[in-house]
Amino acid sequence: MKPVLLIEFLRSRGAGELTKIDTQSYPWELLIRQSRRANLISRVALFLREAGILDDIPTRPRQHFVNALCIAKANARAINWEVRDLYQILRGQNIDFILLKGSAYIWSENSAARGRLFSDVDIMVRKPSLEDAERVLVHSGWMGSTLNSYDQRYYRQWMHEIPPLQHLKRQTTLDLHHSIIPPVSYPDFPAEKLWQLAIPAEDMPGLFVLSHIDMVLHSATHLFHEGEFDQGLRDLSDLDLMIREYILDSVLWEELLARAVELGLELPLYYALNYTQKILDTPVPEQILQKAAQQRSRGHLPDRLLDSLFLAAFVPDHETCRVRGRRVARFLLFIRSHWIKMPWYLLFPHLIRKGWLRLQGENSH
Amino acid sequence: MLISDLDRNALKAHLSGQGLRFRTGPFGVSLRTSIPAIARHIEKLYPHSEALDNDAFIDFHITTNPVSGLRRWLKPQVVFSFDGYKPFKPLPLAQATAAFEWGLNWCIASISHQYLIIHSAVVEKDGLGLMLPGSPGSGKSTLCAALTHSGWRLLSDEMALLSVTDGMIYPVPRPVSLKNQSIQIIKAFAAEAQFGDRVAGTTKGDIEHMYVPEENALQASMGIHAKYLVFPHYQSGCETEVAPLSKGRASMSLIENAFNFNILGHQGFEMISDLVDSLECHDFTYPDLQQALDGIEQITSAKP
Amino acid sequence: MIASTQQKNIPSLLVFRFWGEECVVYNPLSGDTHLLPALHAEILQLITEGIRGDSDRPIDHLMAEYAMSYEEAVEFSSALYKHYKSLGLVDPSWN
Repeated sequence: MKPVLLIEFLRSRGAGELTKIDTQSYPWELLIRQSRRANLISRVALFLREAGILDDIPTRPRQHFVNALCIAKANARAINWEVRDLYQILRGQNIDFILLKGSAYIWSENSAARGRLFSDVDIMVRKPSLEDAERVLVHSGWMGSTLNSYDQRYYRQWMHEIPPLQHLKRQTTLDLHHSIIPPVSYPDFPAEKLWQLAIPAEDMPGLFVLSHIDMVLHSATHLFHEGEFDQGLRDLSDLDLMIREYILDSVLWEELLARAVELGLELPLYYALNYTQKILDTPVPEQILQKAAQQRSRGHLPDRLLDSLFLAAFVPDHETCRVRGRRVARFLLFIRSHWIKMPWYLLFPHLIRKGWLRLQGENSH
Repeated sequence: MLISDLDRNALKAHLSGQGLRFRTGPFGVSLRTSIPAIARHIEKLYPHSEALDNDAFIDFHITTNPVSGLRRWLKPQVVFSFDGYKPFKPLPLAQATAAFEWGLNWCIASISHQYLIIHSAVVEKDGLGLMLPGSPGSGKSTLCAALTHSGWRLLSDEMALLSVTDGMIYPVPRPVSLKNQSIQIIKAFAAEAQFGDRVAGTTKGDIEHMYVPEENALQASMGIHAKYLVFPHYQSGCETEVAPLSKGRASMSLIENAFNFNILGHQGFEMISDLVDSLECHDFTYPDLQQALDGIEQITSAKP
Repeated sequence: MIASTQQKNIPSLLVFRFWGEECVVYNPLSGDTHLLPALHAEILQLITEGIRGDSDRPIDHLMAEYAMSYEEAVEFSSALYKHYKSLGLVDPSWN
């Protein structure tokens, strides 16, 4: 596979080699195009600034990176405001909640917050509070979204989840969960174990983020379970940053492996470690990777096959990095994720509606 | 080199090949399309745009192409794409030129945060800018088109680009988009005006794009200070009325009309407030084009 | 514990621009703007500054500048405070 500029850039950054870039001759326009398509332009911009080379870049490309930083800053402000609003609403009903994914990264200002862009807020409440939470949120301006009745049923009945809510005025989407994996695919997921180690916010009782290790595992599960690879490289980059930030010694590596077993997330952890290492050069020790491989239960697809699918799927969807079979790879992985999610008798009618339409339809933002 | 220096075959070759590279205002665009109507549109309405070399920096790599697949024969459609991202649903193929123009507007407004971008027409005379913010039905495009044939120079019919660095407004002169009755009104007003092909049946009605000659537009890198802010309101049969508009209300209206106010945050607020400080602000109600032009003449030549 | 200092709603962050009888207030935390009569905006400024300090300033101001009685000033500033809370301009958790 031909090297992809964006991936080479991320690898250089991981190796601390961005300062070696010849800022006058580097193909900035190509990097801008690929990173914008992969939803990573703000992160790339931040890396350039951190490496101290942003000001040396020629003016016209530099402007694109500066604008991307502007967007990230506005995004962070918006998410912080959403979290405050949610806190007011849920605190009033004494409902604790854990911030998940992007909003958690931004809130806790961890490494994955850097240059992160998104418009969804994901939170988790305890299962018994789910109905109350939905009720009070809807009452406070978070409307049920305009999903059609098929999709509503898909969420409630088969996924045992609330469909995303959308704020009436601000258009932000809120995903309300009680578990980090759809219950239809992992009905006994021990969500209470996440609560046991969740980190509380100072000064805001009832607001939490996941423990560092759980955050890594959740990110891995989301990426390798949900089957959506439009943001694949971005999510992989989040994992790379968090692994580098949080898993700093052999004790923590062992804790990560053990926690994956405790939560039944051995498979996504293996994928996360394998693909961050292979694609982004994340410093995962070989023996840890082997242990993670061994921890997986039987019955997974052959590694060579999965490697070829995943490695294709992570390449950004841009004309300058065309890779043969990427669309097919993504489609197959999409099917696979849904196969993991639902029993077969639900899968086929669902796929006919969803997967087929996805192939035909245009990307949505 | 200008687009008019390319012969028709070269133009088509670029468009259907690696892309036609040209400047519009401060932006470099690479456009790829296989649609002949768009090639004609570019030839007729962008002749004085600078054609760019292969090594010039391009801000927007865009394509406007027919949608492939089975629908191609049943119900041909066109889709606009910005580097693979498609901000709009496909439109009927007959609306291809409108799709291109709307798409390019979208690109500029979405990522060019070195400007605070306000939904407004901007024209200039004697170094001073007149802003005409646009609510639907205000008639700002008609007014703008007429003003460019009445001694004013065009910066834009859609977007005021207010520089974050120096607070001046920079031009991005493109064809003026006119709808429905406005088309006839301007054709009657300015017999010399040239237009692109009619695009019928869009969600906004029938559209024709008016060509703005080089001498009627402000040169690319020239920024101006805005002096007048006029909110136009077209109302058939009424009396012309110019009413002063409080700066507080003018601010709020400009903020509502600013595409990227939420991105620029506090800085955007300071920019709009500083802009309003320097503007004479008016609400302007008018019954027809001639009275509108007279009214604007009055506003912009009144002694302070 | 994660630090939340960046979440603390510092009252002086509200940005005011006065033009004669009117004032536009910008809230950098929410990105919202509000058009208020100048008098209301003055009171809002005093309320937000006063929350950390002398909370009688709005009342003193109304009595001194607008010749209100103490009771009138209290009622007026309480009503304004409620209104600002609903707009998200003041944070109930500050008290």
